[in-house]
Amino acid sequence: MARQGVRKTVRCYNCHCRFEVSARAMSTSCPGCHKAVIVQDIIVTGLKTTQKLQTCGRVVVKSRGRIMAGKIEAHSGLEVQGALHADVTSGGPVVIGPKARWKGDCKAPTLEVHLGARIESGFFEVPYGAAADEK
Amino acid sequence: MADTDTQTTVIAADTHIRGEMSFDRTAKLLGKFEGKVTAKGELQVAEGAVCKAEVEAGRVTLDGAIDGNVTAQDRIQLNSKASINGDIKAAKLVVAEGASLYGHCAVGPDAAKAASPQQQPQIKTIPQQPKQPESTKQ
Repeated sequence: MARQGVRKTVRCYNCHCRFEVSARAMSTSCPGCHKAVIVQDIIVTGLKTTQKLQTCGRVVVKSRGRIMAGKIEAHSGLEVQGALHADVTSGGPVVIGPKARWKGDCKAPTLEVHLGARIESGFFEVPYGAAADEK
Repeated sequence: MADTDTQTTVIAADTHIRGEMSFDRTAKLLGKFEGKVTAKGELQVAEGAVCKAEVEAGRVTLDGAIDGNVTAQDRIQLNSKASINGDIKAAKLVVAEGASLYGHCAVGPDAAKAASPQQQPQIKTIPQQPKQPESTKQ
């Protein structure tokens, strides 16, 4: 008998359909649009530069992490303890930690900013998407 | 006798004020205010209160809604039911989960310095030295 591990529900960043994957899955093919999607959480501990970062999971920038990207799409949320320079669209909560530095736009259903965080610039749309319609 | 340092000006829930308001200590808005707020102290906007104003204060604590740009020398605190529709400039920002925010943000000591009233540039006038007559060639 096949072993049934822990599963999680994710949302495709291409077609926005929801589907279940194993919690340990790193990438899969979306059953809606059949495109390859990354479902793992992306944890940034050092310097990471990229043009576009997409995941169905979460993006976590640790205290010594620094991310410079054109665009970040994190469909399960984003947490910044280090430095972030990007335009962010998040499907889950965005948390900006007490020692975080933020530069860029933010679209998220909820936002949490801790005392001590520095936001250099950016346009914030909170709540965004379905959460905004509910409000 | 009430201590003057802890006195709070309260704008009650059934009050609607239009114009400019300024205060040095703390004001709590429970009603509706439209116009401009300038304060050295703290502005508290209670849940259900509406503030359609440009706000410049030392500290802003929000449970209700502000429709307008907000500048705080010290801190802006958005509690879970708070809402801001406008740009924010503050030295410190605290946002609780559930608050809504639509606008540009600049938070940090530099943002607060930029937000503070600009000092008049000191212009020093340097007395012009009289032109020396050109030496005549012989």
